[in-house]
Amino acid sequence: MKPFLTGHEELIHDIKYDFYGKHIATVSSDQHIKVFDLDSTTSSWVLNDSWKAHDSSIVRVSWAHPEFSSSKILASCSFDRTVKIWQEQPDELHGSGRRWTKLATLAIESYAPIYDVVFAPNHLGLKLGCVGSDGIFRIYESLEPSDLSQWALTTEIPILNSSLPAKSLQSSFAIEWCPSKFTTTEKFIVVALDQGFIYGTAPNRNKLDDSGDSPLSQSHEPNKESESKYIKLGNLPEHNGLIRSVSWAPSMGRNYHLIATGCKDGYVRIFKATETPQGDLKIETLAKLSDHKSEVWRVNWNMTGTILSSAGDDGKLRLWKSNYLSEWKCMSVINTSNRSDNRGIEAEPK
Amino acid sequence: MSSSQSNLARFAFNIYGSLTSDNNTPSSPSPTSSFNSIKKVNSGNKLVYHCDRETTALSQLNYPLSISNTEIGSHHAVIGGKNYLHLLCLSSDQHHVVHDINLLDNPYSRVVPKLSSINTIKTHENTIACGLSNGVISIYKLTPSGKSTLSTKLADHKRTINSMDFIHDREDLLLSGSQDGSIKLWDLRSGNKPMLTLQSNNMHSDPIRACQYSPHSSHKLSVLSVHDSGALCKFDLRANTNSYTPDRKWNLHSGPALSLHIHPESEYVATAGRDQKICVFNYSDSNQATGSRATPEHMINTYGPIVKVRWSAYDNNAKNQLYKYDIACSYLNDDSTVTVYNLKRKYIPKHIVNSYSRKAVQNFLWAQNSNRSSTLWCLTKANVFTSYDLDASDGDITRPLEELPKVSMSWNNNFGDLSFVNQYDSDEESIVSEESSEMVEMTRSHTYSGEQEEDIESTDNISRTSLASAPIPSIPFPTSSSLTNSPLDKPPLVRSYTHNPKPTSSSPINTTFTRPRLNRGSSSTTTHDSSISYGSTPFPAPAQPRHKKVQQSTASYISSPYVIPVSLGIPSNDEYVFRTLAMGYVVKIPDGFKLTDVLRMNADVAEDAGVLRVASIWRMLAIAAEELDVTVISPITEETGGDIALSPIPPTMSEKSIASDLNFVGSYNSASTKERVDEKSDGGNESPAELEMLPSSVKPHWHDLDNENLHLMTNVFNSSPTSVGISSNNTYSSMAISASPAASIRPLTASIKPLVPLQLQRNELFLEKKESSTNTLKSGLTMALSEIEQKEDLLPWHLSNLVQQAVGYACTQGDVVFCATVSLLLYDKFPGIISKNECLEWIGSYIDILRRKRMFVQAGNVIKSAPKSIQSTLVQKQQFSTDVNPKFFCCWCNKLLENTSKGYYYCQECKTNQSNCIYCNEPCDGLAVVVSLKCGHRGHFGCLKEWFIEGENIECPTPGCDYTLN
Repeated sequence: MKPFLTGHEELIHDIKYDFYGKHIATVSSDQHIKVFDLDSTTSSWVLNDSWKAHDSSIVRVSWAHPEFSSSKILASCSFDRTVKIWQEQPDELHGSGRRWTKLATLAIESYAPIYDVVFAPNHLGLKLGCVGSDGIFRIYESLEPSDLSQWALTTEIPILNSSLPAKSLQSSFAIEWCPSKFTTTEKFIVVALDQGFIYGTAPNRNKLDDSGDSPLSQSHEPNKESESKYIKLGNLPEHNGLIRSVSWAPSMGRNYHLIATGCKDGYVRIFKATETPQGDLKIETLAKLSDHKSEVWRVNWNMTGTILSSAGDDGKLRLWKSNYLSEWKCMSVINTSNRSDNRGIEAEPK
Repeated sequence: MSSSQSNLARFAFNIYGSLTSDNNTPSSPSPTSSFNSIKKVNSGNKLVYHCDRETTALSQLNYPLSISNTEIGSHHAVIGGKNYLHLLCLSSDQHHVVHDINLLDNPYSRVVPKLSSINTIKTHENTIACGLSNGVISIYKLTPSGKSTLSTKLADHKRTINSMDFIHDREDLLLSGSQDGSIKLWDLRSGNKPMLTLQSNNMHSDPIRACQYSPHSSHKLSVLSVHDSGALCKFDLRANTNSYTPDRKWNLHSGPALSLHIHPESEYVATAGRDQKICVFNYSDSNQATGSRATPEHMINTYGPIVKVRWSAYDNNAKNQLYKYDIACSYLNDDSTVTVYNLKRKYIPKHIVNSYSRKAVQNFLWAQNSNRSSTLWCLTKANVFTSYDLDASDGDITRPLEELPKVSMSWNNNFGDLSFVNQYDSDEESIVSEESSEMVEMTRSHTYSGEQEEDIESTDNISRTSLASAPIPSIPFPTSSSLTNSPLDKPPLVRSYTHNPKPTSSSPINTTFTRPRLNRGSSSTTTHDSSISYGSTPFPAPAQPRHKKVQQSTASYISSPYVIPVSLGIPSNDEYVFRTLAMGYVVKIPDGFKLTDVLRMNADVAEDAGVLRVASIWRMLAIAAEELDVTVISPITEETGGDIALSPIPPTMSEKSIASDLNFVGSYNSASTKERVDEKSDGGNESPAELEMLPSSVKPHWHDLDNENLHLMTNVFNSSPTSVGISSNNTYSSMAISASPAASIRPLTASIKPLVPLQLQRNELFLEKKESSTNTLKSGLTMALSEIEQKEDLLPWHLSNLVQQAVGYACTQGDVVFCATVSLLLYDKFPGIISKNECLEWIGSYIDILRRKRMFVQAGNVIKSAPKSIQSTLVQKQQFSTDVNPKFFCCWCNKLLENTSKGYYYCQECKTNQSNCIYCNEPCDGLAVVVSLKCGHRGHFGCLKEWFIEGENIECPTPGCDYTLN
């Protein structure tokens, strides 16, 4: 695996592997999305296509699970106040700029920059959550399996009780769905500014679902009771700054959930959320890790939830692992001196 | 709740225009407000002023005033609106309104002049020109004491005046552009008839949205205008022979162009319009492109239709003229922001100014001031005038660059592969960076146990890749970036490669592998005519294997960021091992076999894959299971010996090796009565020095295994030829036995692997270390475990105990293969060892991972062998269907058919039956392959085969269809 140039003209803000790990999508402030395919013979990444997707910085991208469509589907969100759904057209040439067509433009109800968009895990159906700086979390669901350009807004949750504090210099929002498939309720976490909230379906209602009605009949219900469907289960304590990133670990048979956050105050925090029989979540802090000594931008769990990676403003990627005493320790530091002072020759256009 | 309120407020605002909702609004002034009725609210350090009438126009008067014999500054604001024209005299620091002068108020006249609404204001020295919405231009003259007189009224335009400009070098000339499509030139000294009338189109009027005199065209009197048609026109006032056609005309915008502003220093103009674009265009005579072929020098895409665009008043000392001045724009709709861009970073706004109380912005300008700070004045649609200092920290000003993540990362679906992007954002002159040199370096910083941290600097310099900038052959590019930078804190063991400081200009290999630049159409072409090779980096040339050359454009400021894939060398991240295990493990007990046999088979599989530790655990489970079968506890030592005899390892050595693995378990079950195990665990606790005295004959054997193992891995995973340097025996054995907490990161990563001698370490090193660390913690553990022990009746080596320990450990290590396989084999047989939830989770995520790795056969196999009691839940919750249940779509309208499972083939949407097979007239359902003929008739494959091949017909079986095969 070699480092590869993306050809973006501005900062890359997000990068995601698809389900099979054979494609990478990168989004950048240059308003383009690029998709790269893995060439397995040379194990190098080859540009699939690049296209102008938005009118402002694109900040997040998310792949849909492949079971929903024969051709791949992407969602991207941007500061231009929209979320867009893209689908690959296998007939178009690679690099033609037409290979990915827009299926739908969502979140037009929002008048604020969108900060995050995430597809729900596939067992919840084809739906996605997005949040913008207006502090409203929205869930869109695909209505027609045969027509993926039809999406309906099914849930709207105002995350912040009051409107945005006028004095905030910056804002930060992120979403993460609970990846666990076998919990009784459907859960997700939304972080807004310096607070994190865990929402979930009301457990009693969901027990009814468990007693065996088909997924089809479930999908009609949210329209009726969209406001009351999700209740707040808990919140993440003790952040002293904007939460930049949140990640929910795959459960791997643990009887508790692990949630990690990266915060502007320089800490990576790991929370343990235990479900009480009443359906609430008991949240305790497992670790506060300040090794970055600077703003933490991104935290991610690996596929089994055993290694946490965090990336900070210090330009280092740190990997964390729990040792035998359940202490979280830094396992390795990956450093790039990308941020060297050596910037080469500046050649100004006339 | 709050959102609904704000929606209501927005709704009301849309209807009624302006609401005087702010409590700060002062009481309405008396009509003859004197100089001293100051209405200002100073919030913080920022000037906020509430106008009491509807206001639209904003301008700055740069004329020194001295009112009441006190000198006040020379930069003041003029605000105009409906029957409203006020001069706000500002203090020299522009933080306070010193005087508020109503210019319409004439102390010598009792009649308050009726003025229709002012649409635009332009000032020059002491002259204030107001363009009214009825087409009249009123010129006011101001005395230094702040008194104003109406000097002239110019009435020749038929419709609203949209824009005015003074011709600076001839101060008495005024230019006005109107909705009626004409630009008129006025000489303020003479009469009230225009000197000149220009029209872009004589057939029909093309409303002028903005016009400006160009001060940079040295020998010409050039005037630029933008129109509703989206055109940018350039008139030459001296060549007035034909005043009905513009000198030049360019079509830059697809919708109405609403604003224009000329660069303060050179012949560039910024135009903006409803198509959400700001175009920076060179309008000098040298630009020969005409009409629709004109492409702007730079284009900025924004998130809204733009109504005003302005270059900043003061430069920032950049070298490039275009980068010297920022561009600000405000939006047409209810957007409450003013966005400031700089062309050197045209995608990310430099500042976003949120207007006071988040009301839509009516008008704004870059204010001049005495200390040359970049200041924006805004007038909102709620009639609030605010001044923003962009350099100050202000809650209303955001800097998006600070909010955007510069690092990004993503895990691949291997257990330890990830990619990340790390970028430097610089606001400096040369923005980002040629990210010319990059180094991936993995450092072990802590041991897992956190104890006895030996400072073995086993820093593995995984890869050190340099992206050298190579000149493009066609464009001479003087130098490339030097590559000699290395981190200051370079660890001692880092193999630092001496870079070839500068790749020579001949780079034929690069060009061969360069992908052509993608043309995204002319709409987005900019000066960044880069030829960056997208996608994969070019092959490293054999001559310079460590340098990846990247073609780089000379014009581009920002070299493209790159993605660095990293592969962690942890044992669970071994694709080969995973595949071998996943394919090899027996997940269901075949007929005629016992559990013990299956466990032994799995042990062999694990041993083949090279994970000896897991193999030992399987064996141990097998022994325990056998004990359960026999219900006679036989000495474990014999079992171990006999078991190992199966393996090709000589018994004496293997006993040692396995025993070291057993240490782990031994320390868990330290209350074990087994002498043998106790001995071994004691041995594990011995000092490393003692351990090194073990018979050296043990070591070679390990190495054999190692070599085999490593070669397998490298061969499989690195298609490129790799030279594997195994570290020397001494090093290795000392590391292994003293269980140094060396980083178990195996440098599989890496970009430049092919010729780098890699020091591959054993997979198991990682585990060894863990074990030893647990050994050191034994005392505490022993106590804890012995307490548990007392509660339980079961013997410590009972199968359930062993399984729980093994699975628990594997779970913390993320070894999902082991967990899931154990669950598959043991869940039904021994209920209670593994909880239902654990079993579901493990098998579920195992299936998911198998699918991610495209091992669908194994995934299906796992589903089939899942314990019966959980299979239904698994299938239902995961939507892992065991049987194929296809969905059908209507062949006429493509809607999903809902009742096909009950045999209905009737579309609810278009109320039609689905077409049946043309041969047998049965619906085509299930897994039937449906063949469609060219005539559109369809049928089962079997039916059509019967008709065409066996029946040897060539016509379509449909009666009346004359289609024949040929």
